[in-house]
Amino acid sequence: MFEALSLPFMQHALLAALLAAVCCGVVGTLVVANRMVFLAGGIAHAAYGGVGLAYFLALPVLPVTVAFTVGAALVMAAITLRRVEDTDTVIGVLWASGMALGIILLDLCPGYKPDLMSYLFGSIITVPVGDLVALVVLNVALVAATLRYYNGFVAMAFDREFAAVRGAPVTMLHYLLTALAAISVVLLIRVAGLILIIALLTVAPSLAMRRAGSLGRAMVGATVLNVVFCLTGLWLAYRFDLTSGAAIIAVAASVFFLSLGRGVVCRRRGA
Amino acid sequence: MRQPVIAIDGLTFSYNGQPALENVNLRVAEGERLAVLGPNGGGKTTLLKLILGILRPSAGHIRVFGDLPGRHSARIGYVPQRLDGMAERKDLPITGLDVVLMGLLAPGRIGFRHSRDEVRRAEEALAQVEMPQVAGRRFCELSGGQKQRVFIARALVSEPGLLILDEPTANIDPQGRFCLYEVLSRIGRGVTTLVVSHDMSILASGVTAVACVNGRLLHAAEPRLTREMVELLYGVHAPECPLDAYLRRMPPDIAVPEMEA
Repeated sequence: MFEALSLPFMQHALLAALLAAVCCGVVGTLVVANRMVFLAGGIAHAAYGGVGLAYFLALPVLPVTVAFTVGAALVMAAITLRRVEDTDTVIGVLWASGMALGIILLDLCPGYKPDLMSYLFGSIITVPVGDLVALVVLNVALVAATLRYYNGFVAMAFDREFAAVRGAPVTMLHYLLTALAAISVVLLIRVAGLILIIALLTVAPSLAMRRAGSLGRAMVGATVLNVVFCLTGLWLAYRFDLTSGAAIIAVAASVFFLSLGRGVVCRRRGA
Repeated sequence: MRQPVIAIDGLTFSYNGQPALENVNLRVAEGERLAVLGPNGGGKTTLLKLILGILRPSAGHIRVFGDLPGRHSARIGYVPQRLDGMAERKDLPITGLDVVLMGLLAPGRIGFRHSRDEVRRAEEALAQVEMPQVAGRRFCELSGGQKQRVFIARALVSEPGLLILDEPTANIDPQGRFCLYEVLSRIGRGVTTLVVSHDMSILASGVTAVACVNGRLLHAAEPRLTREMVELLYGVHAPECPLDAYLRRMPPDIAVPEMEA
């Protein structure tokens, strides 16, 4: 394992994993607390439309995907705010249609078809340095926005109507959180892949929230858990030659279900 | 005469073309404690949401502290009706003290921490509702009655000029030694208060006036129902109907007796 750490791609992978852990710890906690997991799933899959668009127009993938995904996310956020009853349906349709758009645009691309599996399942080993820089910038922006609007985010998660009555900018925070989630999702596609990303965003936050005394501490706890998941997953991927994103999620899911099982046993005993 | 805290003129509100409130007029003077009674679906909560600026009137005018609703949000302490939706969740790591501190949210407020003085005020508000022990406990672990009291502390912490309570008696712990009516009559003294309920027992919480809402609104300057109000709330019943006799027998301190009317 230690000789692996001297390899540059392994160092990049570790750095990407740490940056992803912070990002998912903070945004994931806000997403889970605000019950936006389904929305985040929709965003992650709609992002494929952005990937397709970038290849179709022969433009750089990352900026086009970010722009496309943030746009799609803001549409979903607007729908979530306005029409409460059929939000699920509309997000589900956007989820699938974003994906379909990406596939069709890639079909229409002449010539070389890129290895799209890496977008679906992630490829942390091949993360380019540019993505790492983008992740650092995102993490700084994310933590700054969270510190600035922390009380508003907490109040919005707990009781949106009351927060609005007190004059907290709930609508702005809703769009801000959705946009932050969208940018995070796009930057993390290379780490975990758009299909697996939802686990990284939800498992650690939900585990941390059950024990933490505040949402802020849950964010820290979720970050630490994500670091553990990512490092363990990466080691397993290296040791047994597995797909890194899937290995990370497998570790996270195992811990999640172990914890869930333990909770059920405790409750049966009346503890 | 001083400007009323709430002034409503010719207010009408419709949901999808169905009027929920029609031609409502109301004045709430400073220091007044008004009970708003009405059946479920009669428009009480709609009226509150209009006053809070959550909904906008279809016709007519509302002024709160002489301004449009929503402009003076920081001066209003609000206790919402149910603990539904988000606040009912088991997984949110939020303590009783955190919930009370939410009452200090204000437009433009940013940052992460609360000052020592704010924390002290939140603890005092919890003490006022006899709940100092829940400051560090997770909100989701509290009983319905305890949650209700934390919500009242959350409304009190900003020292509001107008206190609005929506169905505060809906979550009383049956065997609790804590008396919500006693607290309601104590906390709001001198503060303009609007308390909404479908339960007539709210008249025993130290209110000074009563309004009845069932599509339209009737107001009385003393905490006693007029005959017209009783008819608005319960309808007019034939003499053979057992409810008719029951309504006529209502105690004189709740409803004005027939010979006086």
